Amino acid sequence: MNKKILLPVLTLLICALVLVGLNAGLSGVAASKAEAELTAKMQAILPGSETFTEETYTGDDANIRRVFAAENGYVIEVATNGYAGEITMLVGVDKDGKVTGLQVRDMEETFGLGGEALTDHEFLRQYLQTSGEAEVGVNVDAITGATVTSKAITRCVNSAVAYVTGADASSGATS
Amino acid sequence: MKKNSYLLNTLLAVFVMIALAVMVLVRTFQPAAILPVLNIPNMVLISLVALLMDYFLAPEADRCYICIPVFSVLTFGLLPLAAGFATVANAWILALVGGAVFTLVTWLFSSMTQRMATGRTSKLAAVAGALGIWLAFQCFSGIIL
Repeated sequence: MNKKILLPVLTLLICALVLVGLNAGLSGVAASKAEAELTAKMQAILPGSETFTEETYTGDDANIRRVFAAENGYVIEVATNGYAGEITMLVGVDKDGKVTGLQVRDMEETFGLGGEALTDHEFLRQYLQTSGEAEVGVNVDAITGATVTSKAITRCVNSAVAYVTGADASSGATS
Repeated sequence: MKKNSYLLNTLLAVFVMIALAVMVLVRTFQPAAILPVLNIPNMVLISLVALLMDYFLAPEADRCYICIPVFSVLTFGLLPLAAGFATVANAWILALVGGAVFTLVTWLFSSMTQRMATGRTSKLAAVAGALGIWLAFQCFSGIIL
């Protein structure tokens, strides 16, 4: 057996061990920082709320991933397919069923087109104070060149509102 | 077989590890950051960085076209799993796609550099060629995915 083949084998094993060690060593820090960041973000999305309690979602809406109940509403993590992959968002909805804030948390959309949904405040602002009636081309102007992404975000926002208002018949928020 | 036949796979493992380690650190200390996914264009990018480094360190090295797919499958399967960016259920997909991508990119890059005129400009030409391959794969991924 050629002894030189040991070089990539050993390198691969050492690299794997380094990554396992790094991942395990930082997992506690990562979890606490992620929790703190999520809480701060939810407080910004749903102003006036301090504490958030995760509720189990048992409804049928496949877009809804997690539900956090707060003093004056809900923050809902929603996800749906965009143009290039799944878009994950947090949407704050007050108890009257109006959107108080939203933020895209994860996406793989095209840079310069759908990717603008991350930072295009003019676009995102259109959803504020909507109550489930948001529709691209009707009361929401799509991001230029990113109609699929805009429609995906609209679906996310409307799913979140439907959970709170009870339009999603399977939701438990109004029961 | 000439020396340094296994350097390419060693470099690939090191560069994949560096990329994943940076992602672990960003995920830990900047949890709101959107991390790049390990898709075909990003696999091609890491592969080309390894290939360029291999070209600069051992320009005359032979390729072992049995070892290249075997080790790249192990690299793209094992390291994302170790870093927590893949589950056991999807690591094998990354492994197979990564192995195929790296083998193809290696063949394309090696074919190009073997035909390249040697001289003071050859290193820059290799970098430009690698950039061309990366852009081509981005277009290719955009078409089929």
